[in-house]
Amino acid sequence: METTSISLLDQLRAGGNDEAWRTFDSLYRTWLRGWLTQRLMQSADVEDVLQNVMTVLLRELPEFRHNGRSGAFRAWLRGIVVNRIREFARQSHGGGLAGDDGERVLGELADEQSLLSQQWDREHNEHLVSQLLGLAERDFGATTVQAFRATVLEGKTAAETAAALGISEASVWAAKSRVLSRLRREENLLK
Amino acid sequence: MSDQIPDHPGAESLRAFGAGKLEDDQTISNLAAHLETCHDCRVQLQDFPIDEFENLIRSTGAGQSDAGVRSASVTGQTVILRVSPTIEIPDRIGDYRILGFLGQGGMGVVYLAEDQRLKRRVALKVMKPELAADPRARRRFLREAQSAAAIEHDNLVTIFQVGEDGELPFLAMPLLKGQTLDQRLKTGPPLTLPQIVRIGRHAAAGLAAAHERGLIHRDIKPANLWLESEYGDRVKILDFGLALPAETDGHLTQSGTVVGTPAYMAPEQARGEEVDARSDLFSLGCVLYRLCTGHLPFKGNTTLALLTSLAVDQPDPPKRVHADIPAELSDLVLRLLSKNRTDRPASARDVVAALDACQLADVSSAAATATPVIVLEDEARPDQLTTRIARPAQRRRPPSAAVRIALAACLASGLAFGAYQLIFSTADSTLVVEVDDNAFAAQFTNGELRLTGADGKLQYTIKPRKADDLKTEGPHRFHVTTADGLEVDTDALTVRKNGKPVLKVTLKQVLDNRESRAVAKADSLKGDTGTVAPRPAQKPDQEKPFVLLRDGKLVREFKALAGALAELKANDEVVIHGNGPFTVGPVKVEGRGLVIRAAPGFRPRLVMSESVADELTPNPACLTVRGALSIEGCDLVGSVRVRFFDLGQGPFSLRRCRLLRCASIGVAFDGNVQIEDCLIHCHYGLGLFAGNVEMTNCVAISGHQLLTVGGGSSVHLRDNTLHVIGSLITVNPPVDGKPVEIELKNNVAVGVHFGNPPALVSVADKEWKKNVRWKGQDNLYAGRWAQPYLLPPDGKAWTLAPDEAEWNKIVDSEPGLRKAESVEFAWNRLDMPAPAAFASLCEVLGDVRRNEDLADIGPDMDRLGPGEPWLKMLAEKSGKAIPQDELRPEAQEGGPFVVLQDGKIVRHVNTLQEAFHAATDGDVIEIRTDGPRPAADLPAGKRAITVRAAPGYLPVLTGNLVIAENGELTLEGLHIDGWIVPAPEAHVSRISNCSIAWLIANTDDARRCRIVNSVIKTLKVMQKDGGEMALSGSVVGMFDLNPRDGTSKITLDHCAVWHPAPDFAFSTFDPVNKGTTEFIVRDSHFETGSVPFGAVPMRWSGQRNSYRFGGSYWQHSHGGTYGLAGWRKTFDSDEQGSIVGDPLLCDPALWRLPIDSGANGTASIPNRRGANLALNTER
Repeated sequence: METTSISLLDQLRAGGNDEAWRTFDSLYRTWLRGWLTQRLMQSADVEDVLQNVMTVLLRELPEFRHNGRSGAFRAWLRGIVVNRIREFARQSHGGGLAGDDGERVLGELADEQSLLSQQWDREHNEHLVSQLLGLAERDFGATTVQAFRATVLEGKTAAETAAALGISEASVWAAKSRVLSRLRREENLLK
Repeated sequence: MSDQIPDHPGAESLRAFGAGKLEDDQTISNLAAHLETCHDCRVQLQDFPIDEFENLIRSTGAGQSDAGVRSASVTGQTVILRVSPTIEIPDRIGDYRILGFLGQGGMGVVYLAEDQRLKRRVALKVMKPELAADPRARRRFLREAQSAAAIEHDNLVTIFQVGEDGELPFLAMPLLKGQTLDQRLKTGPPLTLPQIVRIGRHAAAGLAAAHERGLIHRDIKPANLWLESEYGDRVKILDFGLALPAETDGHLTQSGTVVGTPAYMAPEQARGEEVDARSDLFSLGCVLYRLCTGHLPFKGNTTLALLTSLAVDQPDPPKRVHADIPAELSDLVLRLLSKNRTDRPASARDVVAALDACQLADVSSAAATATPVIVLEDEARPDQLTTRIARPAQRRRPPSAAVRIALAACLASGLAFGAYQLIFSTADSTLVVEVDDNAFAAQFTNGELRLTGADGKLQYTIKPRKADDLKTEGPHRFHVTTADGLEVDTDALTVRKNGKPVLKVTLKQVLDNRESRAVAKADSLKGDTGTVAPRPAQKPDQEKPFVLLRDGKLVREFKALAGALAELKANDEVVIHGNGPFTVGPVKVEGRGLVIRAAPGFRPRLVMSESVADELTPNPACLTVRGALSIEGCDLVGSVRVRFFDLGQGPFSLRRCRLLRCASIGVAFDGNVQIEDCLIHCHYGLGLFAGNVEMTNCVAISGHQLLTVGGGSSVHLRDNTLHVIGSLITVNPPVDGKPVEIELKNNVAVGVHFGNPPALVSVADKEWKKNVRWKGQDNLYAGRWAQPYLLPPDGKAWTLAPDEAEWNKIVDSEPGLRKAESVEFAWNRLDMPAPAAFASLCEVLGDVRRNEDLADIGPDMDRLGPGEPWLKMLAEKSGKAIPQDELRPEAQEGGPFVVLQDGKIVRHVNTLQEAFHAATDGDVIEIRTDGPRPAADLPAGKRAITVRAAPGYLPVLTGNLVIAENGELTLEGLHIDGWIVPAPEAHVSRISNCSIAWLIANTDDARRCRIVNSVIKTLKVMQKDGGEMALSGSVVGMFDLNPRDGTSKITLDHCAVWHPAPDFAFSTFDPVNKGTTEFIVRDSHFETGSVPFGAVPMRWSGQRNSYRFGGSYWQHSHGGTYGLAGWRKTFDSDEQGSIVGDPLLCDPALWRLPIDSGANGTASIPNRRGANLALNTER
């Protein structure tokens, strides 16, 4: 049980943990693919770039340190994606970018203040929290996560939630505490 | 209270439980059990405020089934505009109809909207829905908006209405005409001094109004300052979106939440501490600094670097960067930028007052009040021509603050007369007119400058050559009409009266605001000469660039330096009107002084002749001078081997020069040597038999030592950044028993560790205590420094002085001492994250390949290393692309290490160690995972084992891989973060597409090693007679060569040796080596500190290679030699070899101090000279 209380980033940092990489990969690959195919690139090239992105992450994630600024990880990840796409476009003489305004879109994504970047930040957290809740469901069971959703995401009181789910208020509180603690473990990716 | 009843958990535990801060499951269960029965605690839990993290999770809205729910709360109406694929814009908010999208700030989106009742167009700022979901944030937004709406001030944007649409707060503001200061800076011509002062004053006045109502902005930056075009660029402060009422600060923001924009943020704000009005003043200081100098006071490519700069750097005073900036303004900006808020002006009001004192009034007010300083600003054509006339005080009037400013500007111009200074500036030219106002009165009318003599008659009219001349780019001239009808177009004019200049007009081409100032800084490193260096490329070399001046008058122009020197008389100057390159020497100047300097606008590149050493002149000089020698503003390339005999006629001085590819600076006998504002990249630095050396504000990078001095010398090093490998100062035995006096003040000395730590002094006898007088003050010693090295009487090898403690006592008692021992320099660029290292390499190779003869040089980057390139190589080998279903084959049960025999899977195991044990000779171990796995030792006697990446994977092996006796290994497609260490009778026979931190390669007549498409950070080659090693398409950081006996061979084909460090890329210092290495090198690139070799007995046969190096000394078994010419002659090789560009080591990123704020007490670094030279990229 000791090891599971270590954050994903710390596990990756410690090295030699294939499971942590697999988890990370499963958390991010699909989401990144979505961004690449839907907004940033022509689909034929996506897998190449995605692989490059994951390779860079593999190499550099252990070096990532959260600097305390809000969104540090999201911005870092965004930077890697932008750079990989640019690199790819450079090598393929501009190929791969989505449409004529591909560079503009990339520029927007590189710009912390842009709407697109904020969209990225928002979707990142939304996606990651969903994924982490999925993992939590596996470990704690569906009711626990439902109780968490009701109290934290939907803002219901413990009493309302308890009544809706047919469990005690104390169980609702315990569910909230457990799941929140699990999410908090990955705070560095989220905050 | 409930937390005092023993049965209840404490409030803190309960709070931690509620916030999900408990990790131990048992504790959670216990608390839950308590809650089952305790109503009080459940109530208490429900009452705790929701913490930041929970809010963050809530704001994601993750897992809600209806993703549109967040925007649905905005309005039920249809979407009318799509800004970006994912942003939806409502068509109505409150009583406003949305017409378009204008932009966005930290908390809200700004729309163009129409107030339906008043039919008035407004800018409508609407809080972002995802933020508005949090009721506290919503409250905050409304509250700020209401606070801001309560203030009416010319310099604050007015707020018409604050309202809410459902749960979406918004505020309506007037639609302003104009642009933000940020946009203005990006697109407009440079701001004039009065404009700068006015903008600062307006912003300060607006802040004062807000601060007086307890409102803090928190994000003052150019993008939040609006220049209202209708009102003469009146400033309005925008976006109090981050501002909070000061007195409620603690309640509404989370502690540790950093808001603001890093580049403009006060240190306390960056630390997440409470901010106050003075934090805004700091940000205003950053804005003003940028306006004055063209760049930000604190810089960093990453937020972290920026925040480090913020904590550590002391920006240069703006007036140093740009002499036009009055001292008062410069001082005010620095006070605003004080790290400690108590050192800043106490209030925005005070800043307004200070700026009022600086404000050089416009024409009308100047006329009305007869202010003694007149500044004319041609507002009618603000984007074409701006003229400023600054006049000194009329002597009757008492000097005001503004007078001092004007005087300061005149003094800073460095000219004795400068009573008037007129500056016409356009986007790329500055016309500077300096007039003695006793001789002329100046009047600016209709775009002409009219100078009237004391008799009241018009003497000169000066104007641009054509009306629109100054609008266009390119070399400009101006047109002068004199009283007697003479008309002339020229770019410089001086009028003398009784031998004294009374009128001087110079035209300088400048770059855009930012660039020109950068160049100014680079050119005058110290920044105190006030000159703006023109872009050299804009001015073509004159046909006869060497101009001989006598008493300031032109004698003759010459094509070559030698011509000028032939006519040189005492006190003559040679001024170079060209960038060259020009070859210099060998030159002898006897009995006369020699002054060589760059003409304004040029940076001549003087290539020191590479005469080859022979037995008679082992170290031939390029310049032999008996008399004074002064070189200013030039790039000196190659060894500046000066024989300089000071016969009491003057010093040897170098100013504002860069010395590149320099083995040594010269030999001066009993000389006075002054080196100022130079970048020196050398191997052996300056040698001086006896005399006085002063080095000030230089960056020196030395591959060995920096100074060698004889007894009786005195050495003064001040304000330098010094990177040294061997020793900083080597002291020869004393002459007449006199000691060497050494004074170091305000330097950063960086000890670069290479084998042994460097020493501050090396003494050629045992008597350092007697022969060295050391006096240091305010120095920062970074890296590790050893006690003195001594050369014992046998003269064979330097040894560390035994009395370490005594030496340490001397250094440790220096006043103002700072040490940062943990600082290490990652000189070897392969240490950098790979993309960065390879980006540099690609760039350099790109430059080299532009040379037709070298178009094919270096490795093919697309085939280099593991991952994709490896896949590509596999496909090439098999003649077809790897089918999709063969990519990333699944690891079967048992593990990702697959043992293959004749292509068939024998076993799946979980570790490399198991795989090694399972494998038999000739087997292949395929790794089917990307994750890092521990490396393992290859057991004795296993031969022809291949370890490779399965197609599509990038396996990482960490730790050391030892190959036991008689083992033999092939590696393909792997990243190995560790050592590969073969036993003496074992080896790696082939490496393809790998990246490896350390590799020891054994070769002898029976063992070969071939490396293809791989990156090896450090390669230790152990060779015996007949050994052969071949590298192709690969990159090596550093070679440690060990030819044990006989002759062994190393072939490099299309490789890069990538070692931009002060030292050698190939070296061996192990006396056990008795053999010779034969190199066959083709189409390869060498990026190294010195010419690549140190102490290697070798033969060399090279073709089509390129060399970029810093110091130019190299060594082989025959002794030391210099330069590429010596190289060619020695080896009769490399005729097509070439040097392309300056070495990367001149890139300041490589010698920037990697010191974190506060590490080892170095938070305040006394010397930022490195930063001063950081701009010196343009030669």
